[in-house]
Amino acid sequence: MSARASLKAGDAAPEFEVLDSTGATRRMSELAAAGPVIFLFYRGHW
Amino acid sequence: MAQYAELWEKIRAAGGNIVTIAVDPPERSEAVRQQLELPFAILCDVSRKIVRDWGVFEPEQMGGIAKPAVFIVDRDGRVKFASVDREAVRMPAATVVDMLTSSIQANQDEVKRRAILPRFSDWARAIGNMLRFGLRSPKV
Repeated sequence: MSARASLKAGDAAPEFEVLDSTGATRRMSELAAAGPVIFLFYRGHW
Repeated sequence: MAQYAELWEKIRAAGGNIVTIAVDPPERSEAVRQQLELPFAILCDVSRKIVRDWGVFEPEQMGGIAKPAVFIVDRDGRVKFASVDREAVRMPAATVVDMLTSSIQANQDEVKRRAILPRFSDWARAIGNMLRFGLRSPKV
């Protein structure tokens, strides 16, 4: 699979549904609707 | 992340939010969150779906991890600001948070402007009516 180009300003942020570290389900659309959101991706500790 | 944690109150006071995303499993991320006393959520993209969809997947590293990246997403779900890799790492948290708060302020100004405009049109209609029908004083 070829790597996708990263999102740019003006793009629609793709929806997701994922668990957070406490086990709660989080959706992109719900997070964004509650107010602008900073999404911070980090490499993690594996 | 610690830089952003220090700005948490400012972000929340402005009506914004911050969430972090890594491919680590929940136990691992929760340990990090508690150790660093992070006030925000860490999303656990174990399947790598988000990092792929958002184009920040680093497949060569350890089974595939997230590239460092910062996105500001507006209420309408659109990306307002994007920064990836070294640029994202060098971006001071305060700069990103300022962009978030000024974007919120701009939106609020827009809402206020729209709230004022109908009043202007009411005035214009009132003046138009006055010119057409003359001034009428209310009959007591």
